[in-house]
Amino acid sequence: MKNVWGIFQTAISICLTIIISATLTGCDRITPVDKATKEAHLILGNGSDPATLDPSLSTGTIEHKILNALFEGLVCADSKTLEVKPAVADTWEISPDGLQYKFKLNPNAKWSDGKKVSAKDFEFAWKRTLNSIIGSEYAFMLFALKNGRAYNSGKLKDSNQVGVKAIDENTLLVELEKPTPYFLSLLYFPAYFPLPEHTLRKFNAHNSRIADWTKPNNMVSNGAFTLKKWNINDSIVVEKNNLYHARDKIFLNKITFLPIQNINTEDRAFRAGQMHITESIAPSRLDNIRKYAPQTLRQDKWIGTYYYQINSTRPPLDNPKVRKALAMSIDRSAIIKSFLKAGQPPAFALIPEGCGNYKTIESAKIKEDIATAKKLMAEAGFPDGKNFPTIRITYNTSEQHKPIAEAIQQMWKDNLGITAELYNLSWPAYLATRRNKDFEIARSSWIGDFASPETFLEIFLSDSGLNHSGYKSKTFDKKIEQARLAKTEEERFKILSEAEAEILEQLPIIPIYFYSKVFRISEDVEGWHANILDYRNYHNVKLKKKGVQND
Amino acid sequence: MIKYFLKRIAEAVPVFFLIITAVFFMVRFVPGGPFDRERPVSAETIEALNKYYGLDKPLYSQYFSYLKNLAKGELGPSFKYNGWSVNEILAEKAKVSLELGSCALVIALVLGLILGFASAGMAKTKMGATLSGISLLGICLPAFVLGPILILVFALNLNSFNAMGWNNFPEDAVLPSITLALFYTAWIARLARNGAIDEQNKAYVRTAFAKGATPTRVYLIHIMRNAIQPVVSYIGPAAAGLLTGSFVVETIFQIPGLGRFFISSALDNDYTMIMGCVMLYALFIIGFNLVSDFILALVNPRVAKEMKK
Repeated sequence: MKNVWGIFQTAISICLTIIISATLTGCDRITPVDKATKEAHLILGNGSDPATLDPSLSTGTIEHKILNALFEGLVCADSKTLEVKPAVADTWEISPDGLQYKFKLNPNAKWSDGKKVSAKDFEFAWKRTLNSIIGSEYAFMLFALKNGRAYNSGKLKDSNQVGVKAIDENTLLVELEKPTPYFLSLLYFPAYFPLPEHTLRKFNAHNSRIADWTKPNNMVSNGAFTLKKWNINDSIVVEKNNLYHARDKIFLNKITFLPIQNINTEDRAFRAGQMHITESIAPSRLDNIRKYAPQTLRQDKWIGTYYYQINSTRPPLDNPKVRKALAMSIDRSAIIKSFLKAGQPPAFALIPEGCGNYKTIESAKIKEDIATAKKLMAEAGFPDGKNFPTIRITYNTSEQHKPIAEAIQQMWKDNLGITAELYNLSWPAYLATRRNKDFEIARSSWIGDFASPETFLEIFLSDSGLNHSGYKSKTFDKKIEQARLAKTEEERFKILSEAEAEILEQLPIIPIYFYSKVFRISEDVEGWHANILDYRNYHNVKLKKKGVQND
Repeated sequence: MIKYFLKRIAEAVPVFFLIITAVFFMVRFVPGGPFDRERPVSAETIEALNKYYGLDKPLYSQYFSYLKNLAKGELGPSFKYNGWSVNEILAEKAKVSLELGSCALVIALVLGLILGFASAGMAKTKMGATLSGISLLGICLPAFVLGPILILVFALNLNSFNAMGWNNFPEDAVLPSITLALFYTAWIARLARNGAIDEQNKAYVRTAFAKGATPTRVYLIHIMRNAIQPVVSYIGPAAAGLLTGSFVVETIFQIPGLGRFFISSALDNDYTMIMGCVMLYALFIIGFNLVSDFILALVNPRVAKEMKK
């Protein structure tokens, strides 16, 4: 028996020796971030994996951050002010009726294989995105082009009638369907990026979704960086493109995007010195970070609204008084304070602040007023919630949506005496339910695509695919049309604010809060500016060793 | 005996076929489709996507063309990751899961057997009770608790390891392997302990002692050989589970393995990826059960005899 015990003792002591030696050698280990800062290598969280790196096929913000590093459109935006600036296009002229744009391209703009970026590459890319055969989900961004929608839907077969034409190698002529005052700010969106026609043809992707050309070693791009590695669930690595025309503005040699979905894993990676910038923060960690490492916490305004969508075709929710009462009896600040914890602004309107000089009409904003809400319910025939049927709140599975739905359920019960039941669905099932209008109230949110009020308001157009609430208004549609023709921005914003006021009067949705971009950032990072779109072009971002902070 | 194994393999074929068929049809009846997005896409786009991925054909013809491709070893394109085939993803991720799983399997086997036999050897002492208590703790402590604790101590406080990632092998494998192995270590320890205690009281052990064999010899040659049998039967499915990755451990340590695809492909309605994952798992289960039967036959001649019958 002693011998058995002896073997066991030896095994234990070997294990202990390994652990202790590993521990002792670890103490003065250089963290990945220290090493990366020295090499001008930025490591940041990306929230999730990109589903594609083909700009024509991109599906949302997860891809955009990476695509903005790899490609560049006709214009870019200032990462502080979002002011439109020249990129591949040096200059442009706009016709007086706002329907024609003529872009002169920078002769020094090159693809990463050395070929020149020509006007033809833009014409090719835009027409490819609009070609329904490739099934682009963001093709609608190009509906601003003349015949863009007709060509995409297949009504128009001839792609030469689409409003984009390369006049010569350096001149691109663009014709719009209708005046689109914010057209230039659409141009830094990935759907408007150029594509290297020669590369796509080589991989047979010029008229198909085949995406072999987007793999490392195959991809040719024209942005500040080129693709070096793409390993799903692991990392996407891009390296400085020495052929990029504005390379003097790029101070990073390399960027690694980490698709970390779990916010706790991401937080631990930041604390262990494995990344410079996180994608988000768990609300439960905020108090500690504020106390011990506040210099690493950033809260930036973001163009997004969290709201409850109401199916206004179903009684009793078809009554605007009921919808108003529901909207008035939610204590938004309590929800933010209890569950979100990052001081997000409560939403009393549809459009968040920061879309240029746009302002919501003050008197149109929703007021939290329980007495009036009760009165409205009584007027609608439901005094103290009597006879009001049980309504269902549908939400997709998430740690955050559930407590918010529970809180609202309780607030309606306490304030109006009505009963709501909660209904939890997986993401695809939730989308199907909403599409089929098989809901009464559904949690929703919207992150704007560009920094103009239209990105929110166009959801409610009668023919919009996003308008699940069943809201239809001719006066609203007319106002959005009128705004397109406005001569000045002031006039346009005035008309749009009236359109927003109509939404806030009819309330097909109940706004709850405006998003904030809450994340951690190492003090080593310089030039990571806040902007409402969380748009990045990586110009002038620098890394400089500052210090270590533990929390 | 070879006949027995050939028969077992022949039995596995219809099982495998049934699994493919059941999963193929089940995933199609889940609400929502693979191209559902927050922003609804136009009917033309959906039509183009369905055509590209062959979803426009009737279900039975999709099924047969899937089987046809499968016979060629092609699992089709992933619906979620444009440009990636399921073969490519599975090959890349299986490599990581195999690395992590084998580390965990070795830890679980070595530690589990040592712990189990030691606690059986000292069954009536305080030390033995402590050891079996430790293994009970291992069964009760879930990975999502152990993983973050290990990271807190060894990555955040002692700075000995990275908190996540899979870049430097074997350093990055240490904490996730331990986290993944703990549960299996504890199970193996309990199985080995119970097996050894049962065997200790049998007549052949007394005979061996009476013949003057040393305790080490009795333990290692006589008792262990029989006591290990429940562990061997357990190892089959356990190895399949370990080597195909773990959703929890891969999420905690951000490891690009297979485990996460079992969950994410189902949530994304990525039909081809779901099929690929399920088939791989089925193959592992069937394969490792065969392997553990084979080992059992080697250790125990009586089992081999039964197989011959």
